[in-house]
Amino acid sequence: MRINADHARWAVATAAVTAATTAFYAYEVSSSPHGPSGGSVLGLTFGITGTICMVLAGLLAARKKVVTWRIGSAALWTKMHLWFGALAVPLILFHSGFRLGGPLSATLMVLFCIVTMSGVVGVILQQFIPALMTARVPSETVRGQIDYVLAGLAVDAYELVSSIAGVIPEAAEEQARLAAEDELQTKRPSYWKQTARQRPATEPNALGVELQAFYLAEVRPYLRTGGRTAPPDLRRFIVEAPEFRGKLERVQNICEEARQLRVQVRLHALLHDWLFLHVPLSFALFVLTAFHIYFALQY
Amino acid sequence: MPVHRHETGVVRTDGLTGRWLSLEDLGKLEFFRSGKSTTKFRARLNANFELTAEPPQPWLKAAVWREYEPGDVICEAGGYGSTAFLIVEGSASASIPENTSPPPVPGRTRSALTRLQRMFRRRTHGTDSAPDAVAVGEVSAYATVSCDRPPMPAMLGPGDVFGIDTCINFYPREATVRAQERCVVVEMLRSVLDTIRLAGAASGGIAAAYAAAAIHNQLSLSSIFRDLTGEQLERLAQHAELLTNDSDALRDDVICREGHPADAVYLVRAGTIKISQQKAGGELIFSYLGRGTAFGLEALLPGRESTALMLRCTSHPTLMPDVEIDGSVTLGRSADCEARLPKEARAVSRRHCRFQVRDEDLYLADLDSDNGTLLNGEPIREAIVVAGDVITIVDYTFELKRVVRDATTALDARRHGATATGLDSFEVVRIPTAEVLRATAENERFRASARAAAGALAVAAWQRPASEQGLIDDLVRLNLYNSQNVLLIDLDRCTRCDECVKACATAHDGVARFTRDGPRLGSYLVTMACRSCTDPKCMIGCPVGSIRRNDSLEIHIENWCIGCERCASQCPFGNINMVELAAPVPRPAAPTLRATVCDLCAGFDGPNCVYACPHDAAIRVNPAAFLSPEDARSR
Repeated sequence: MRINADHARWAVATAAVTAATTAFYAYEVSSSPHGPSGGSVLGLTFGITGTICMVLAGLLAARKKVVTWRIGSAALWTKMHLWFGALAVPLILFHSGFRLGGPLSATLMVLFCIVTMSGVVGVILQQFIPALMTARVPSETVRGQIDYVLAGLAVDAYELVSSIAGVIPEAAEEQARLAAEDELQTKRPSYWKQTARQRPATEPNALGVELQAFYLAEVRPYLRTGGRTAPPDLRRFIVEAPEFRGKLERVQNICEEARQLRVQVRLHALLHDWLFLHVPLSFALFVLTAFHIYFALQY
Repeated sequence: MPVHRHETGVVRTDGLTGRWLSLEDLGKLEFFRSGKSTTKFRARLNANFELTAEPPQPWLKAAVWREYEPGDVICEAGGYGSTAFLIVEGSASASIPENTSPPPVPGRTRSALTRLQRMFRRRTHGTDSAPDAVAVGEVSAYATVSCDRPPMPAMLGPGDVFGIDTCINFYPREATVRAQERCVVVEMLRSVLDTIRLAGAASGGIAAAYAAAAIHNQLSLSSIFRDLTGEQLERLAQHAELLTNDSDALRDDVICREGHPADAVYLVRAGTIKISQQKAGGELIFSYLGRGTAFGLEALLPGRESTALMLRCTSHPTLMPDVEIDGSVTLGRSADCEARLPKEARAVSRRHCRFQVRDEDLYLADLDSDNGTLLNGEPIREAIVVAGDVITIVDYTFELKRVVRDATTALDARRHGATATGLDSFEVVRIPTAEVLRATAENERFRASARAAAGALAVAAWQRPASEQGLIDDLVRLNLYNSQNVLLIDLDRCTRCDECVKACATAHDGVARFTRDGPRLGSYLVTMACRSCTDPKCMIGCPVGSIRRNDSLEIHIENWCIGCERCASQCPFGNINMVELAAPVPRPAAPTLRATVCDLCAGFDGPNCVYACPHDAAIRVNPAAFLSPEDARSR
């Protein structure tokens, strides 16, 4: 979520509460003969309020399960998650007295730190990755459709190349897909999303053999597997055969689009993979917190 | 109105009885009979439904018989709908309300989250930028539902058809129609209305009555003509005509052309009109006008001094009269030159040089003459010239002078400053300028208000900042001028989590009604979700009338959709998707697909896609009101 002026009131409130609790903690430190304790009145207060903040922050996951319930917008709950989560940090630290304690509380503290830091990383990433994706991936599409789109691009490239160079036997997958499209067109002629495909060239031409070889060596592997390399360069073919300029430029654009989609995959992973750490550890944190509360009350 | 549908096809609305009509029922009504041949008319009715694989159903579901008691409201001004009405028996009155607010529309995020939005205001530009900015889900400013001085109520009787504007153009109802006595009405969808408009015996009468009503209403509703008396309005109406995209008088949907005589004033009744000029780089779109606006008002501007650039021979004052430089003027000895020099002047070439207007500049080019052309004493091949320049050809000296014309510019000298082109389907009321000027001569207040309107339009059109041009270009390119409610996603905030899509699917039985993809405008994604177009192409020609607006902005597809895909193929944005029915009815030729479209989450108090976005990235807005030039520039 973008941290902007919309969060001003939340930030001010969090800062104010943090300042107040810091003052209380400082008072406890100065007045306690044996140092701050999590079991003291103030320590327990810190612990309880810190836990409540963590629970409120954690309820975002539950809120996302009931998306149509009118219990506050998702944006509101996300802000709650951020700022109550932030507020939990000083409260839990003050509750712990900046000590790790026994194995359980030490584990809790480590988990708490990892969850918090991963959340901070996520927030930082959300500040600039979306804009970066918008700028670097003009051809962006839905993440879940990328593989399908890439397969479609491979077919489009084959269609264009074969319309110049003729049938390419090695591109069996692409040919199969074109055949399947033909069949669908026959079964549902009113299927308006389809467009007429170009047929493979039957007349030999000077460019055909060389273009075929380039397609098999460079273009097709790039579209199928990609990588971080730059897309194949078809400029020399465009110069040699200006009569095919339009088609060759479209093949070039297809390769560029494939490159962008792979950039999108990487940026999407960057934007979301931190959740694989943050979410499961958050659940672990809640479970162990429950144990901590139980044992603390018992003893 | 709530509709309760029973197995027998009897429809109850608000306690009244009504029944779906069959083809036979329609054919029996005197009004629907063709003057030439009942068979031909029935064939046309049948043709409208031939997409169904099975024999036509006993009930068309495109026309329903309704009965009203005295005082009952048949339809209300401001309400949405997609039907027209025919009075079979009884009478009703149609009145345009005075200064009423349009009814609230479901699906308005603002009403549901007012307090939270005030607390967490998220936009620093673009919202509430103008007092009349259209909020999400509200009736567009293009649809006028009230006026300062409404016309007298019109009385309707048997054979009268009303509600055509809503049925065809999908605007909110213009008038409230109330039964004056016990009234029997046939409410019909567009498929039936089109049939009787094209083939019924009364088709000519319907068209004429509709045009007359449209002209009267538009004149009454236009603020430009508010100062006219009833008699003057009536006279204008008699000389006015209704032009549509089907009119023979229009070619390529061009209503008036830049530079042509401004012989008419136009009021936009329906659709969108593009106002543009031709510039060096191509077409420059100044504005797009919707319902209730006017153009072609140049002729109403007060007479002002106009100047002309004249070529005067200063060395031989009696050689030739001053020649106006307008377009292309050639100097030389040849008889076809506009500025002809004596043929005895052999040193002057037959075609010596030429003045030509190009890219709004005046060029002087030497036409490979034998003795050259001097501009202010210097030889030139081609140069830009301005008033005051001296041109010398051999012994002849000319000067370009700007002279003032007669201040009272003749009517036929006033010309349109821009080209007006209709986009998609449109209706405009054309009023001859001569009649308007006659009214200005008779009515002092009208003259002042008309000139003020003309001046305001000129200022708005011609003095639009260049920064706004990019936005206008984008709005036209993406067809957003036609959109009343668009789901935009701020890509700089969106983390592509797809919570919006999941929420949409959750709210609609697992089938999302939009796709998080589409064209971009700046950093906004214009999603593939229904845009609630002012001119919804999707609603044209549904054979069973299942896609329609009921009494609010959103478009519904009812559960009797037969999956013919016509609406999906007609939507220019791909916002209607065909989905397979989960449990198809097991009978032969039963539909297996159904069209789905975003319905603005009718039934919820706000669109779920917006509500479920955790990053405040998804918004539903009227794009013309929300977007600013900065949005178009931020790429």
